[in-house]
Amino acid sequence: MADAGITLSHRAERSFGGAARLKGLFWPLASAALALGVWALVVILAKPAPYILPAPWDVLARIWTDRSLLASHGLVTMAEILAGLLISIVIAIPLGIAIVAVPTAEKLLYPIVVAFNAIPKVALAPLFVVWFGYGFLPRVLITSSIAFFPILVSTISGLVGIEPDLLRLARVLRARKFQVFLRMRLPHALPSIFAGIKVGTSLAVIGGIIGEFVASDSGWGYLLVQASGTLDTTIMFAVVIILAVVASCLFSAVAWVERMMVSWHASQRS
Amino acid sequence: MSVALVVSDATSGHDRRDTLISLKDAGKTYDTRSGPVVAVEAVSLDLARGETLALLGPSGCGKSTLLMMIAGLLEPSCGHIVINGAPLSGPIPELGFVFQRDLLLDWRTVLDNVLLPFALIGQDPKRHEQRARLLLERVGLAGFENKRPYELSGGMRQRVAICRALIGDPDIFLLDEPFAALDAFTREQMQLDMQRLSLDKPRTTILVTHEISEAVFMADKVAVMTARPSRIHQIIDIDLPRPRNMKTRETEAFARYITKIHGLFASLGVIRG
Repeated sequence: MADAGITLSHRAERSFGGAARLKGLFWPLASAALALGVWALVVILAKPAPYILPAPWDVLARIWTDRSLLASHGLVTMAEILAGLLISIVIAIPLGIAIVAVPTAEKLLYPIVVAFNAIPKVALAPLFVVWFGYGFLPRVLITSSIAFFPILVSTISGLVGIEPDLLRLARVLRARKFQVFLRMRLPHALPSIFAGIKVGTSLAVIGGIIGEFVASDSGWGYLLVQASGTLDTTIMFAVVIILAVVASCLFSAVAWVERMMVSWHASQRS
Repeated sequence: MSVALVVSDATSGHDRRDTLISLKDAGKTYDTRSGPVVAVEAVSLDLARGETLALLGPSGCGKSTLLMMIAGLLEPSCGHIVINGAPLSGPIPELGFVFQRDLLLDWRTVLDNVLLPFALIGQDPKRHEQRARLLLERVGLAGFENKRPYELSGGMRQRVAICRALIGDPDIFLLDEPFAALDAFTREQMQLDMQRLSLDKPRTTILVTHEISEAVFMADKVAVMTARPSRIHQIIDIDLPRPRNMKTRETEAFARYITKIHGLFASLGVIRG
């Protein structure tokens, strides 16, 4: 999942690069059309029962008729995803900096980080329900706990991964530690930090939905569970399609911010 | 441990005029699990203000280690280094250092890269912008101030790195194989251009190189070094008039120095025929 996120990100960046903005949209649209075409073909040829595989036009029609229902649940899910992602960014990056900057913090905290990272975060979901009930909070916590670690780990590896020669240069120039951090380590780590945020973004979407599976009375995840109970496959497909679009947009937004902030990095040059 | 060999006559040859850099039995030995490893054998040498010394030898001869010690980046495990009368205990302010790789920061413009030394010690770089522009102009990079490093060729990037090393107007200029990564034409051009940068102020320069002609062309003294054991075998004075130019390479004296040093390396077994 995470790997897929990284590969896709490069495609997304390329498509935004330079003046060929519209041209860049051609292939994503073409591949979407291909997927829809294959789906339609299967429905026409195999004629599956609608509760097994609904037709694409039925799903699209359902998205339109149930738009207010989908939107109201979607607002909840989007809020969870964004809040969870923001919380994990705001905590993970400073914590990563602290772990790199303070050797004691590294020795003390890094083993805990590694241990927590190894836990499948989904396993924590029922625990969060016990602690925080069925409200908005446990779902945000599940989301941020899943998105948190890739951001933390990539922050640390980005800060640590600076070339020894650059540090040697800093020493020859009698640089202050804080200035080395601000002007060398941090900019150098930014591409890695963004890679982590992108992985975290994909994971936050998963976290939001899983949180709603476990502890919810609203949201797209809740809608999916409800629809599963009534074999309403059409609405399930509608939710999945919307999720794919929303996740892609979120991902592109992060890629856009990245492009603004690290335009100098090799991955951003056309 | 054979100490200093021929080195002593380099100091006795000159009268002790204004010695800026002085190494006294300075060497580096690393303690490893399989016993001590000599990175560079103890060496004694004096370098007068404004002189250029080339440390010439194959890889593994300890020339970079020696340079790192003079830069204050590496502590000698024996002996000591005196610069301008004061014992060395870390990088000094009057130092410019050029690495083999330009180490430019991709996120800073060319101008901001040259001004980096001030930013790193928390000084306002704005006050030195004039000088940075002047230096860039002198290395032929006028008009490139606001470019990013990745828009420049390898030779241009290294010129920016040289400007960054010279922005503080250092007395001592240390170069660690600065042109090794460049193509032959760019390298020759850089060797010519380097002289111009030190015209206004003679800088005491130490150049690490593995190219004989580069060492002879640029230096007043060439330290011929060998690997296993890593040490200075001999220091040869290069008596070629300055400023040196393209014609210098065609002179008989130049060819004689090349032949002599080449012969030395051959007799030492560095080059086998």
